[in-house]
Amino acid sequence: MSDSPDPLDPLLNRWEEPVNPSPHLSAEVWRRIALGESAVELPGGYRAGIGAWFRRPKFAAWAVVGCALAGLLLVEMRLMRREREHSALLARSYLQLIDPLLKDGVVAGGPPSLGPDALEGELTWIRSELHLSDAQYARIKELHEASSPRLRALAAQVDRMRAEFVGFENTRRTADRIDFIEFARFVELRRDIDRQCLESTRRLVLEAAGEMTPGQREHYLGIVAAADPWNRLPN
Amino acid sequence: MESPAQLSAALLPVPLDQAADRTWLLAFQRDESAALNGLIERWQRPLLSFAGRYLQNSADAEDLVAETFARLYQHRHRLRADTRLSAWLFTTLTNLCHNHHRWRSRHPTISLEAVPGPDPTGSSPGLALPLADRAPGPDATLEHDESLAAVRSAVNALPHDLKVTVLLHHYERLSYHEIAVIAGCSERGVETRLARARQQLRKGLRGYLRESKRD
Repeated sequence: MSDSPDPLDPLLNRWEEPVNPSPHLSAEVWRRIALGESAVELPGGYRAGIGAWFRRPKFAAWAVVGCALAGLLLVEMRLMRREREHSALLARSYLQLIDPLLKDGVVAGGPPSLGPDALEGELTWIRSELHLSDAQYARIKELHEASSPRLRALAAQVDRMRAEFVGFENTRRTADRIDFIEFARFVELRRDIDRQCLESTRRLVLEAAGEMTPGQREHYLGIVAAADPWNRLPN
Repeated sequence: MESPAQLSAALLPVPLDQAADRTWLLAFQRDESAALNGLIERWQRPLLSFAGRYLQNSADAEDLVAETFARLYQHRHRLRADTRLSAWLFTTLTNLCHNHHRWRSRHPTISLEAVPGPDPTGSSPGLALPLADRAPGPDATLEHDESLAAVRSAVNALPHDLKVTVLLHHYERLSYHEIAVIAGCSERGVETRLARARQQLRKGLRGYLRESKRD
């Protein structure tokens, strides 16, 4: 205790707290330790158990590493899913470009452009997706460009047929009348154009696939078939 | 009654040999169970003394000191080799005492130790009078008991920070540096706290201070 001349100190010194070593203290400490360790194994004390596990540096370190890896895995899975969705979108867009029947509203995203820019963009994606060589790319681009006028002509015919169908529908609504002979001719013509469109698209797909290695071909046909809403194309 | 030798042994300040603490700590971290017993043996006296004064209840004090050692065991692998054991033990015990004191203030009980009253035979177990010839007379004993009760009460009335500072400095004889580590403040802060604590104690004990001056 303090020996300073301050009169407060002698007064404080009167408070002696003689302490005898407790004979039970050691046993009590070990009892608490045992109790704490057994609580880890008790099913009811799972919170304490988890706490006790996390107090172990090795376990805590492994838990942190595990969480970090799980996080990375989740991020990777999410990126892969996004990439798949993006690829599917591009595949649908490509199919719209080569199939006149998909021109209007069948696939989300509006009517495709058949211009050289759109073709260039889609083929660039195909090239990176399938790892095409320069020669393959040049040949496939050539095939697409060659079929482009035919596809445009078919697309124009499809447009005309759609307009004609709208005309039939208007007449039916307004005049409550249908010229069945004319409509039968329309249906026949429409079937013929549909057949031509399908044939044209199939031919282009098969010709393009013919320029690819077996692996690339399988991938390419898989992409095209997955994007085809009517499952008409080869796979 | 205890002999003077026992009493002086009981009033020994905290162990100062840090090298010995380090040796015990290393053995303790190697899971040598004897090391914990050694640390308990070495540190229980100052810890019980501090907790006894803080809580003014020996059963509670023993309980919290046991808890402090149990926590030391749980945290043994996190302690660095250069950990100052005195600071760690007193910090833990101080926090436990503070929590316990707050809990007690919300759940008040009557301590049998704090208010020793006369029993039907007229004697008081806490204030047993010595039979030796040189023992102080009843007046002196009564006066001593009153001033002691006043000191206990005045210390107990101090806010936690001031109480810890005065107990560690005056009774456990820890340095400003050690108290600063335990209390989580600067040495200058310890000085300020000590001055404020003494000021409040002087105010609370002014009647007894006048008496001691007259003596």
